[in-house]
Amino acid sequence: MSKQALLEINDLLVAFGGFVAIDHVSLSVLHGEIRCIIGPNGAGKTTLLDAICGKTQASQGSIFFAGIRIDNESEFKRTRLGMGRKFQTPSVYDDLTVYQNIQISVPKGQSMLSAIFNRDDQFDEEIQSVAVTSNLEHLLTTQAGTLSHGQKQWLEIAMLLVQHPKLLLLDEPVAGMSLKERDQTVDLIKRISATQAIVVIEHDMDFVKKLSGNVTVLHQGAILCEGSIEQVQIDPRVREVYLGD
Amino acid sequence: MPKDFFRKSWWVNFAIIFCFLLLLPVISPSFRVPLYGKYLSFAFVALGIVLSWGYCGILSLGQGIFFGIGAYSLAMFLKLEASSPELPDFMVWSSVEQLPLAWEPFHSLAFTLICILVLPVLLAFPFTYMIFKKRVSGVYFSILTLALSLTLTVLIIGSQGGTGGANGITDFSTLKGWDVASDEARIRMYFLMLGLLAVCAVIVQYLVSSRYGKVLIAIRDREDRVRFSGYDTAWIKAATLSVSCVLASIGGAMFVLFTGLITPQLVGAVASVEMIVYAAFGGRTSVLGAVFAAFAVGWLKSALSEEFPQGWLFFLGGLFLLVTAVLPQGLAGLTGLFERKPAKGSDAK
Repeated sequence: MSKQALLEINDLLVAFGGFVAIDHVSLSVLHGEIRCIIGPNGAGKTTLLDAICGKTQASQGSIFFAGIRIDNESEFKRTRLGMGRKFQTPSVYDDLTVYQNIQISVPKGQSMLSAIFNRDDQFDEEIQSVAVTSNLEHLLTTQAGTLSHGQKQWLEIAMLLVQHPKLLLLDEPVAGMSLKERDQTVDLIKRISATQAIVVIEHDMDFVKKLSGNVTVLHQGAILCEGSIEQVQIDPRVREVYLGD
Repeated sequence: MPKDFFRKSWWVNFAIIFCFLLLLPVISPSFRVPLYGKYLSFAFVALGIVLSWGYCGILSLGQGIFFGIGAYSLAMFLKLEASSPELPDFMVWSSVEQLPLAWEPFHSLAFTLICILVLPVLLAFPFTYMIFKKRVSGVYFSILTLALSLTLTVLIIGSQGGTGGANGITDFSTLKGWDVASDEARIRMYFLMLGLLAVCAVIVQYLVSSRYGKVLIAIRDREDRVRFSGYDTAWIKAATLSVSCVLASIGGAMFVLFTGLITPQLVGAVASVEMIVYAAFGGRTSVLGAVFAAFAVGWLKSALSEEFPQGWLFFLGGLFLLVTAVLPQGLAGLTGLFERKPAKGSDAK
């Protein structure tokens, strides 16, 4: 391993039956890095995140996170090691309020005994501060089911932030957002990236440009090229498969 | 302490329902009291179902099994007391000559009580933890539990000599020499049970209003997300279902105390589904609804069958249809009409 990357994927293969979704991918993400993964539909972007966070099992290869091999660990253990995943369709708990959504995501409260016996306002300050970071402070008592699509995305990010993960995996965080909300999300991600590494999957090139992170292009399950957005955009192979030129 | 736990409206309703139940034996003829006791024994089961199904989303159609564990444990103890030093009568009839080994410890009341309270956990937790770990859930879990309760009935009926077979265990009336079939004892037991029921209801209400209750709702609605928030959901689900099974077991023991019998039909698949109906009728997320519904349905069954010996089941069935069609939140939905509601999601869930 080179200079202790936070996330180190070696020769990863994910196959469903005979179909190879991730084809011998190696990738490393450093502490504090913003990494954008782009690629046409069906390139395996979401599958890659699934394999990292444990939703899908790797068929071959290894994944190291903060120096620990994790490709055989269960999802909740990977989460406890410091990994947070936001899904493509925002998954929040519709029947609970915004406050409660964030509250039950607080890692210190995760043992059942603590959830039963502790005061339920002991994380108040933390919840408030996360809500401010993710532009939700005026919505704390709102039922999550009534939020707009964009607000749900923020709420899910807030639920991850309260866990102070070392690595955030964001699957299409600006899908369904207005232009203004997109800009706010760019600010949000940049603010977070001061302390956390972030992997973002996104289709929206403008958004990727504004994030100004490193870009990895996936095509048919394999890595096509890596580099800054400018480098990637002039690469002839990328233009061919992705930018449709 | 969770804030929701101190919601005034809940405590007012709690007081109304339990005062009503407290007054019942005073205002009705004494032969009704054991019937009320019988109805309320199902309230324990319904409380458990509210917790496991209403909040955690696990629809177990095997609660009869655990009702049976409590009921048979106590019945075995009482039967041994009634027949000792001889063998229980049904064993003699099936020419069993020695007391089966499994019966021996039921000479002890302490062992019997431990059996009622702990055995459900020992059986339910490891088994369901394994199942939930394998991600078996929803309908598949329900079918599995339904199959188990069917199997249990067959098993009990098949082993006539050890369980009394299809006739079950009956014909006992003393608990440590105390005649539990007398009117006075029954009224006393009724009040004791009411106290226990109140304690159980408060505990369940506490659980569902704590942060743990919120986690249960989250598991019910989006288990995946909860797993990715770092919870071992299989563990939480198995533990929650275990609590529910203990409540069912307590209910079974109460049932035996008030009726003086237990049969395989009372613990089988049909009985298990009926227990779900109690919870659904009361409102599956309402603790007090469950208590009230268990009583109301039991009472309705008696009243309707006295009034219409031929067609009472049709009335009962019709009533269930009406409630589920008009009040998706059960009887508890009725009180909701008069309560100030917090901002609710636009969906009808």
